[in-house]
Amino acid sequence: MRRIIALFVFLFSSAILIISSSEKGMHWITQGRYARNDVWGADKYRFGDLYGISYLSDFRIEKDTQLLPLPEKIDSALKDYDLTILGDSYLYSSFQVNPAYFNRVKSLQFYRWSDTQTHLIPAKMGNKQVLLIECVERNMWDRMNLADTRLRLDHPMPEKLVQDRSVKESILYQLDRFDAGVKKAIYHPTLESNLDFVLFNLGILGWIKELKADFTWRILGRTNPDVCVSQDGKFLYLEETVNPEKKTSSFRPLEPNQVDLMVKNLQEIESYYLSNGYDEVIFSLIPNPVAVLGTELNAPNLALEKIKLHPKLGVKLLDPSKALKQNARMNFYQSDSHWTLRGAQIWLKEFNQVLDKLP
Amino acid sequence: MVFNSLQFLVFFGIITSAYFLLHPKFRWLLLLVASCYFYMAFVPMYLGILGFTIFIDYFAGIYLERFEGLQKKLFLAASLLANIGVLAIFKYYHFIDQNIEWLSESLGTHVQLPVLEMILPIGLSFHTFQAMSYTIEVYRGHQKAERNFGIYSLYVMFYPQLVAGPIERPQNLLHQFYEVHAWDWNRVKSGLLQMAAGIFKKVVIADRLALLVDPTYEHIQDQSSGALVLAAFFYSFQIYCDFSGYSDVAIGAARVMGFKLMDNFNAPYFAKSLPEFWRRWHISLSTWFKDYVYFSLGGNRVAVPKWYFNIMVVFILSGIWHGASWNFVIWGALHGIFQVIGLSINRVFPSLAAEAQKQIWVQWLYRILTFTLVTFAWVFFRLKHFTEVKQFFSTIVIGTEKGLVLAMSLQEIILSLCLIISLCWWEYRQNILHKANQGSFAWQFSFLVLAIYFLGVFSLKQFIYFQF
Repeated sequence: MRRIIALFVFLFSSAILIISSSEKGMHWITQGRYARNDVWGADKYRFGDLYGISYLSDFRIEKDTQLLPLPEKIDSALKDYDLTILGDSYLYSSFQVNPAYFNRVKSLQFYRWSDTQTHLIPAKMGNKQVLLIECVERNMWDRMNLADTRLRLDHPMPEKLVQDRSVKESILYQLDRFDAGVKKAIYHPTLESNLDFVLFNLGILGWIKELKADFTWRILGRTNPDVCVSQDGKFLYLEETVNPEKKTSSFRPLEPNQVDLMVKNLQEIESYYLSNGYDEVIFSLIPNPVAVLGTELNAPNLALEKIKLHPKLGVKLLDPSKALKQNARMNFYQSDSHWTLRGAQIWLKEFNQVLDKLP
Repeated sequence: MVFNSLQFLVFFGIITSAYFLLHPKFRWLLLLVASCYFYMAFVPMYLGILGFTIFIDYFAGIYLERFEGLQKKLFLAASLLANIGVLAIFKYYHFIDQNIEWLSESLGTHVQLPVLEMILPIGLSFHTFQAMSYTIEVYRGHQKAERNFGIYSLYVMFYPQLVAGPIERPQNLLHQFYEVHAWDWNRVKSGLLQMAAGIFKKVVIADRLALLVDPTYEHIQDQSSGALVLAAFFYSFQIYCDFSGYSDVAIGAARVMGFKLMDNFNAPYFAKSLPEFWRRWHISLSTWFKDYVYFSLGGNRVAVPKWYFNIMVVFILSGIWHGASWNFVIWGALHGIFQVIGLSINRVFPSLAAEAQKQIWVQWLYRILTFTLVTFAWVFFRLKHFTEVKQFFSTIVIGTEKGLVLAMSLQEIILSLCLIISLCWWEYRQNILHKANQGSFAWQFSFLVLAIYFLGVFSLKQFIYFQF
């Protein structure tokens, strides 16, 4: 009996470790669980990504997982641009990779900020080339610079050559590489979160997670530190977008030189890509939901507005804040950090207007 | 890999079950491989440093047994030098460099050691002290030199106590690797219960108290005196639950497999004096210093001034052991000074002290006084900079106009106090963990698991003593 118990524990624990440590294992289990809507399915994103972090029962709201439908009428006569998008989950979780959404666009390539691609700048194929660089407000301070966009859109930048390093630097570099190599070979970099997913991300356990989350929120006034509840109690936000001490926040006091730097970065990116094969470069900055919804007493820092109205800007910048503020509560999910399909539709309308105005 | 992680839960399940499935002849090998895997989860390359000290001490042990007289002393010196050298380079180099630079600048010159970019290997002070304990015991003839290199390596690397103790003695641990540990359900239950209690202390109490302590200590200038007093009080229990929680998991994990590690804590905040506190707090380190430093200096069998000097040396070394920073030196020195003052009072009024101890209310008064002194000293342990310490005490003594704003809700403070009182009651009754029997195990274990889940603060926060 003891050996049977030991054998069971050994096999069960080993299976869990093997699945959680392998890309294939995680792919298999993730696909299987997300395909189900029953008690054996994963509950992490069904009700919004912020619900999946906080598990507050008040925010267990089924999320619309459909993508924005394609427009019915397509006018092929006006297709004179090839569009390349470097964007984030605001776009890829709402739109299909399909040029039919966009006015005057014949073909579309989509690249994600979360990936590191080796994408060649397109050769001239007859159509004009337009590049859209889209980014949500909370990430723009880190991402909107030439080095980061090149990391995603160009060949990776060459590493500092080994011969440029001192002997000490070379030794440290080799030791670091050895260390990282060993660690990568033995331990999966996201093992802890993989284990969490494999062991506990099941619909059947949702009620117990909600019980803990509700107890902690209602009795102790705390929730998961990555999430906060809006002051009117109706929305969940990423904590980093609300905490004024964080760079990503919509309430961080902004210095004029920070806005100046962002404008300079946008100009640098534009001039680099204009001189490297693109005919047009458009930027789109998506406001943090908290900056639009108006649920907080504090005044937001109006970062996007300050950038847009900067006297030296001189680049094409789409800021959908004003349009999103109309009936704002219908444009964002209560339990997700993204916009609804209605919000996405509003952005698309504004973007198509920009495309229409291109030469 | 920290004990309060899912990785450890799965790792423990695999290793413990494999341990009992394997033929006893190969079990030490499994534990050695598992210990390497466990340590490499932090920084793989630091296994090399551990390998270096293991190699040196293994051969030092054999040669210490083979030689006598001056040669034996030389081998001991070489072994200690290698161990202390590793500590000096990886732990104290930056501290030494800073002080040389400061001293030279005060003398009008500028001297600086070459810059070495190193991260302190996790648990270095723990396994180095355990390795030194081996060579000293072989030198003293209390322990035979271990001939099996693998078993000796396992003695230094045994994963439950590798990164934060208890710091074992070879006489207690080495022979256990040769014993066959059969499955004993009562022992397994008691080990699992101690592990659960350790995790409870860590994630339910220590990490909860950290929610108030960490932000308060990080922004001392913004705090009121009430907030600082509460933070200091909470920190005393945070560090206790953090460290004793780790020790409980280590001892429990080893016990499940049949190994008996030494106790590291014994309700230290019930101590009625500072010497008693140190007999109850981090017992494996206190006894290490007592056995290898204090007694070597003559202990208390010397003239009174030399005795006091010995006490100061031991406590200052204990402070330095904790960290390469002056605040730890001051923390150690404070404990030394408190002890010297206490001993002096006892020498002047011996009968008074003995009589007073007989009354219960006086005993409680002594406990409160001891706790207050320990809490006062923890402030120096927690705050790295003198300016912060100065601000801390000036705010408490002079006060500020700031209102009492706490980084924790009132309900959470009440819950924290309830948990602290429960812990004290539990320890005072001395029935923690020792009464696991077949009937109550399921209830106790289930209660702890549910309490850990519902009341735990899961932030994967590292154990405080990992940095040492």
